[in-house]
Amino acid sequence: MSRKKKLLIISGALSLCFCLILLTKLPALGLDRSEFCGQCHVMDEQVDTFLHSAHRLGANCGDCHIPHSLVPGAMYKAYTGTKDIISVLANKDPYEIRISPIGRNIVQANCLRCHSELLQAVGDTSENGGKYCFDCHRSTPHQK
Amino acid sequence: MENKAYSRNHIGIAVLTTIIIGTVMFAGTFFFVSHNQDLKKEQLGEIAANETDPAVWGKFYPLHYQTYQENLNNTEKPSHFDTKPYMESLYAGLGYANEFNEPRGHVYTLDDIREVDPSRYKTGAACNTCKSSQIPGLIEKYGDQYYTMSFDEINSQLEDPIACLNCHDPKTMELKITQPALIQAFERQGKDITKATRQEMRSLVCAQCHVTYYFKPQSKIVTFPWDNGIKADQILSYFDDDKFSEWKHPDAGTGLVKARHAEYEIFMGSTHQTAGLACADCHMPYVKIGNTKVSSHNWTSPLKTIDESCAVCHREGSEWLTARVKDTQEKTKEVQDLARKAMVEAINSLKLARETKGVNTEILAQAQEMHRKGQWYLDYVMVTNGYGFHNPTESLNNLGKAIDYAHQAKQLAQDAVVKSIE
Repeated sequence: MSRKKKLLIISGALSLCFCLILLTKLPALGLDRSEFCGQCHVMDEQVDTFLHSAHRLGANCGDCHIPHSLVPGAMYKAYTGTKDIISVLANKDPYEIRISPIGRNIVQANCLRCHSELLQAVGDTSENGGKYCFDCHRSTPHQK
Repeated sequence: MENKAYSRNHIGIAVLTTIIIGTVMFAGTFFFVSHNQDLKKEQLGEIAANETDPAVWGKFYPLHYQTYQENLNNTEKPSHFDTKPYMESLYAGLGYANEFNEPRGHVYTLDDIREVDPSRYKTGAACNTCKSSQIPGLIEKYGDQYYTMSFDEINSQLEDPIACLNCHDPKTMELKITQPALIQAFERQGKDITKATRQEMRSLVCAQCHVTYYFKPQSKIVTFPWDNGIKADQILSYFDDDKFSEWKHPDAGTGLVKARHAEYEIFMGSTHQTAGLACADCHMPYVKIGNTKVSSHNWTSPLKTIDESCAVCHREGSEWLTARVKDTQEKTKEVQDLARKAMVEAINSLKLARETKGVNTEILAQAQEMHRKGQWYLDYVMVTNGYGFHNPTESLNNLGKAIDYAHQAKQLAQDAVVKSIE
């Protein structure tokens, strides 16, 4: 096989992988929904509390926890999903599930995305060392 | 690349794949863009940099102004003497002993100060410092001379009460510190107030006035006594180092210092503050008006807005929450009354000792030292609004010290009589 051909196959495979990752953001596949995320039992508490919250009517897991843009969203989802699968398989999942610092910023941005009209006068409270929405609304939606 | 390697079928598959991937990506992008809402930021007209009149700001921010106007509903100003009858003997020798009412809030500052007993104007212009949005401009105009002018010279120029300009930059609407005393207090502690985060600013704008202060002798400059720290014992040590007394108690003969509404100081280090809260989180809750939320500018007890102020974090329900707050406040009030009773007894014993011929002046001086400390700790809690709720443990801790010092003062005063030189 010539070098050129090898290069072509490798780059073809890589771009196919990239496109496949993007596919994970397709709503039709349902990879953002609680039915999928809750398949690991460690997420039971999060799924149960979510299903009893008002947010179940208008949002799913990914709407809050995944960045709302195609490429960064899909990349983050692939990263965080892989990380979670490895930690579950290796029995390293945390006793108490807590949101990560990156996760906090993603959720905050998604709060503002849907509730932007309500918050037009308030703005982003987390700017410049401020508090996040869920620092006060801490039981929304996971009943903490 | 050899074209021979590709058959027609291969090209077909490649085209089909490209079309599918293209369609999927286009559909995906369309989905995300069409469902995305950006946070709306309204660009409103410009307010003049020195606009002191809240009504002008209200044209640009009608919802905030609407909540500001709600302050007008707070028309009661009960006397502190009704609930704290001991105040008259504790504050003997001060204007506070003649009249001490609860103020009606930010929008009534000028009306209230103009109605107060004139014995309390004697400090002069400096009394107006926390009464109007025009003050920062006037301090800039007159410099330190402002503080030594007469009460009327400044007060006659004032038209607007505490308003928008006291806390906001009219251009960006960001929070802003306009009180020189606070900026200077930070400088003396080696801290830069411009480095404060948004969350810190949501307390610091309140700390422009809701703190303990004193007027520097001679220059009358409003000063926050925070050089050693902001806690009751640190402030007292600052006054002790300075050998400063605000007035001499006519009965006890003690050189005393006066505490003022130290809400910011006592809140710092409390459970709520260390959990990351600021004054505005409880006192200026976000309220829904129509389809938007605004931070309420009706400054009052959060017990009146318990659903917005407390229940967002604490889901237990307003009845239970109110009961918990009342429990803290009633128990603090109970201990505060014990401390006041002990302090008045100490004052009476000191009075008796001073009237005794040949009293042991050395022990009497020790007794007065205890009285000075005790009354400071009591006053620090007593004049701080909230009946201890801003920091329950620290309030009770200070009251405990006050009771101990009061008993020591009383005992020493009695010893001074027993060991008097006949």
